[in-house]
Amino acid sequence: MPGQKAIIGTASTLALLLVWELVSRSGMVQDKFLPAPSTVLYTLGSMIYGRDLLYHAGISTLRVWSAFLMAAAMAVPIGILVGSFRPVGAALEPIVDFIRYLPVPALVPLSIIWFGVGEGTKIFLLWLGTFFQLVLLVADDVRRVPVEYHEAAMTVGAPGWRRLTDVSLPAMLPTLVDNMRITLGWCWTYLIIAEIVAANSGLGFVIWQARRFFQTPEVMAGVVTIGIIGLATDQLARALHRRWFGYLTR
Amino acid sequence: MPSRALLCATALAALTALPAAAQDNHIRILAPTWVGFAPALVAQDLGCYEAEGVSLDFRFEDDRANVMAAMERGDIDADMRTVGEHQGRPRVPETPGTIIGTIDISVGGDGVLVDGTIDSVADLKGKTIAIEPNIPARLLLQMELAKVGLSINDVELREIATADTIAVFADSSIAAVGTYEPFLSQASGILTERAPRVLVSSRDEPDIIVDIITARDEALAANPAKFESLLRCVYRAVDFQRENPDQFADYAAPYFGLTPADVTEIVETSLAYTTYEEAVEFLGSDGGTGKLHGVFDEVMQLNIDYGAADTVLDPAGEIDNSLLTGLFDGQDR
Amino acid sequence: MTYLSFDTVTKRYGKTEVVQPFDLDVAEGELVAFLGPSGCGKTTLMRMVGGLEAPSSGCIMLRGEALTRPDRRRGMVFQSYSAFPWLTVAGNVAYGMRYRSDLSAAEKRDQVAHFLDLVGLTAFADEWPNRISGGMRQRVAIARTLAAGSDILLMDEPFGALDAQRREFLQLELRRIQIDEGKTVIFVTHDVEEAAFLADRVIVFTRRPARILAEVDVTARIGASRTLEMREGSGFFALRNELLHHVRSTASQEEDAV
Repeated sequence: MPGQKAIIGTASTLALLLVWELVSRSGMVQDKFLPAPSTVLYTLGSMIYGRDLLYHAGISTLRVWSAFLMAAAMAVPIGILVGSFRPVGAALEPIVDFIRYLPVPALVPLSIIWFGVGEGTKIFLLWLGTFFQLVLLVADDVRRVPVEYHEAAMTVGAPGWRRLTDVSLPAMLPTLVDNMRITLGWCWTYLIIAEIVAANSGLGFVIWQARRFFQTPEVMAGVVTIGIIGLATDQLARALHRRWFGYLTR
Repeated sequence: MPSRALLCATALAALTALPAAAQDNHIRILAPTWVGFAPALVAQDLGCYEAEGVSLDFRFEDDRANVMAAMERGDIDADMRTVGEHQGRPRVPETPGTIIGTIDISVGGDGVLVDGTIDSVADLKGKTIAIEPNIPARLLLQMELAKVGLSINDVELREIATADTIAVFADSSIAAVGTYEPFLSQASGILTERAPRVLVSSRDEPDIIVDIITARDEALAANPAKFESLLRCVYRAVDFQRENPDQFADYAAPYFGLTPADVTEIVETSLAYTTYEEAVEFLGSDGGTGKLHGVFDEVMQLNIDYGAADTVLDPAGEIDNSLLTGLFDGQDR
Repeated sequence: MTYLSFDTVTKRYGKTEVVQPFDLDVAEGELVAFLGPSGCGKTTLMRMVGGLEAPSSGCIMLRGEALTRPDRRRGMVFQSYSAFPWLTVAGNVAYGMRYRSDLSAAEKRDQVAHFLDLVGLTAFADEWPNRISGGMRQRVAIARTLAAGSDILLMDEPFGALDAQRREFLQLELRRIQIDEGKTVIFVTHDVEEAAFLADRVIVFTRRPARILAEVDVTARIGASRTLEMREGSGFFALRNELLHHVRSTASQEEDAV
């Protein structure tokens, strides 16, 4: 029952918040390090008025989505090629595998040389954290399409390239959407790295600035904002998944 | 979906093109998140840039490597940083960046915090000290160690991120931590069980930690006038701060996400903005030398000793006082 | 001219010999069952007919023309993943006709209805494959293959995962469709009963590398039409025992090998 699930989810969240509140209030942890949720909530509210939190959240969301959509628009076709055609996979996979292990923060100065201190670098860094991971996930999704589907298409006369659209894409779409949902989450985790570069806006900037002046409640409020956006996006994506791929449920 | 992604990519390209389309009267600056640089921002609220016919794009960037990359690419016109950091590797004489002015000095804003077991600098020998490389407190520590015949090699260094100061100092295996405000006072206030005390402070060596304004050479040669405008606006804002500290704090606070009271407290406990006259005293005038030339050499040696720099730079090649000379001739203060 | 013929077909994967020189003629409209132990190479032979794999030597000919690549004339029904889950039952059947230029859109619609009726799925036309039973899914796949206009149906243990009752029902239905539509069928199975009940002719294979161990002409023994009652008759019983005997000999062969 979906209603029951929501109740359990809400109850466990509230329980966690209660424990957190009690721990903070009891003085077990200095509230300089872990402010109580009530403090964070209050700070969150005052930041919406005093520090344009919603504006920064909007900017960050725009950046993440721009980078993510670009990464997806590139990774999906490339990943399909990598997964579908052995020579393409042999040529690209080692490179992709190598790059995806590179620590993004170490590449920041290089990306500034390439893209300057404007939006380019920020988008590039977010893209970097998403694209290579997604290529490999997409390639695996394609490979996991049962060979029987392809063979069935072949024996009804589908030419080779049409099997990409007839079989590969529709068969992988549910896992593709799931993997995109997961990589979108990863994209958000790169936000801090991206938004402290020549920063003047965004949640990453707000969090980093607050950290610079040891404003822990503000840091937490910024983090919570990202969490809320993430939770909402994820729930929405799951709902869409259920709606689009209802045919999978028995 | 591909078409939507494409649309988005195009919209983004437009967004990305913005900074590149900067005109020549546009001054693009990167500086660390530090209240010492507030005058350059507050001058905006005072309408100074507008009056000078220039515009300002100021962004925060704590990581020096990123600033150098942006300079190299010609993406920014100026940066602000301490003279010690300016010298660090990989700077060689050809590296873009010429010192054209000062903006503030650290007065208590940087220091080394020790626990109750340390009475003097000499006690630090063999002890573990946590510090971020290349921050002013490291220079101060080096100077104090040298005074008692020790060097940085006589202590155990642990690299940290300064924002983690308090958490790190909570660990009793760390005898001292080099840091800056507000972490310096926060750590003293919170970790009382360690009986913390500021052993070394920039208050004792106020001229060593100097924040300088650096111009990209190419931009400077192309249009010195806009850098003169920048300097005039900075020193007008400094004058304003001296006369109206509260209003200055009101203007400065939002840029740093602080309250005006926070700004006032940081300014009072940590730093002093340099006026035009003080800047001239530092840089000298008419191609001559000033106080900064000596500081430059002294700090240079400390950086070489520590290994933070490997090329000895000549202050005469790095400092250019021609803009400061006669900066306000025929201009309002 | 023979309709479908295997002419000294062999297959090896690297050093492993999977099919030993194999010769067989299949008549048009005939249902031939390939019976043998799992992994013996019978599926490989069937896939070669489909053009999904190429023989290492020899060739397979349809009306004297060598078969090299898959096309609509030879449709395949798999053991699993037989229907596309993202298309409705009717959508799956219609997909069989997607690359047929000989039919108009209206004709295709009529054909979908016709084949759905033929496999008894008219009521489930708009249902998703995942929401119907496994047997129904196999019927969807059969209808799709028929809709493609395939003359030859290649079926790889299509009823393997079903319970006995559904299996029996589908076997009857397949036999009926095969006769009504005049299709040629190659049916791979390791179930003796199934082979005996469905096929016109049963080819019993040895274990790998595949070789013909025995050939049994079922239709000559019990006739072309099949009913449930026949299963209890003595003729069928003898036939079944004979096939079982052959299959057992492949098993003892396996024991000898060990």
